[in-house]
Amino acid sequence: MRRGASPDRDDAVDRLDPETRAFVASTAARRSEAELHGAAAFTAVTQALMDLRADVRIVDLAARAIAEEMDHSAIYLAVARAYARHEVPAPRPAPIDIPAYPAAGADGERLLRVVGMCSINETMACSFLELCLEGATAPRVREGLRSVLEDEIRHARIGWAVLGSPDVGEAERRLVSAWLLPMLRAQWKGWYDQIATLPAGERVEHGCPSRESIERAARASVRGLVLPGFARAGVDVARAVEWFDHSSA
Amino acid sequence: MTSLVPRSRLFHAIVVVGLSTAATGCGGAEQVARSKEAGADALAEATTEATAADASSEEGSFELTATDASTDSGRSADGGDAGDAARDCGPLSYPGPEGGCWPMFI
Repeated sequence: MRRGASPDRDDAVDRLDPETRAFVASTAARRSEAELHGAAAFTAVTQALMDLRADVRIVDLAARAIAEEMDHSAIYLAVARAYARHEVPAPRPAPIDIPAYPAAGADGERLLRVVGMCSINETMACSFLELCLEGATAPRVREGLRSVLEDEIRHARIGWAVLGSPDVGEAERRLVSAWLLPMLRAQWKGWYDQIATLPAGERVEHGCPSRESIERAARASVRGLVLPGFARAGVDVARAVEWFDHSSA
Repeated sequence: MTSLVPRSRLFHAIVVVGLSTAATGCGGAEQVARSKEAGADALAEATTEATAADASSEEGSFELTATDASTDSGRSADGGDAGDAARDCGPLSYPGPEGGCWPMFI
């Protein structure tokens, strides 16, 4: 599906059984709402980067991400409407709670917010989308997922870009090292809890993998992307690795 | 501690490129182009049927340029729904509990 394309009739979708169409439509509607939360999150990330006087190129990526997350919401909404074959109401932006780290100091909290949202959460989101794309064969879904993944890769880079910038020195790396375990633990629990709310079943060919597959992808993402990434960025990952390897939730 | 073995394609696309962003002078518009390439990489890794030809033929699915982003965000009537709603008043984020988590998109 092209970005912002209006829903149209799709013969392949029309031939699906009602249960499959309802499953995919409700999943897409859910993701449409979640992506608006992402837009709200990136307003906070962009503000944090501005307050940190971060490199303008990094701020640029974050600012673009706000509109891109809104675009993702539109992409998923179009999928939901196409599969539902009836009007699905557009989600409305709702306020979100963002993590607080008062003990880290003002600038420390800003840095941790950027790192937590992008280096952890968005990096995990890329693996989730990769999983969805892996099994998706429905053209409309594949095109949408591909567009979203392209953006999310860039959004994830924001956190790594900050960690690799000259503004982050030894003191900042020590701060992130100290907070990595609690940040990862909180985000992992959030993922784990949200996965548990997904409906049982799967429609892999329509970009809706099972809960079990999503959990495996999330775990692989932490183990194969997030933790090695922090290690490469000079962050001490020992405690986080030890916890993650022994955690079930 | 068990060893950390990064997954090559996404690790490079996200972490390696990300860490070098502020040092290489790669700005936002250029990052858009580079993430499209990375998206093609991810697609190739994730699917067995994907080929280089598939990836290149899909490259034209959209073009988000600096101009697009600064003018209409590329949104259509559907995106406009979200845009209209976003004009409601009030902050969209508040500090939550200490050590909370970010919203997930699954």
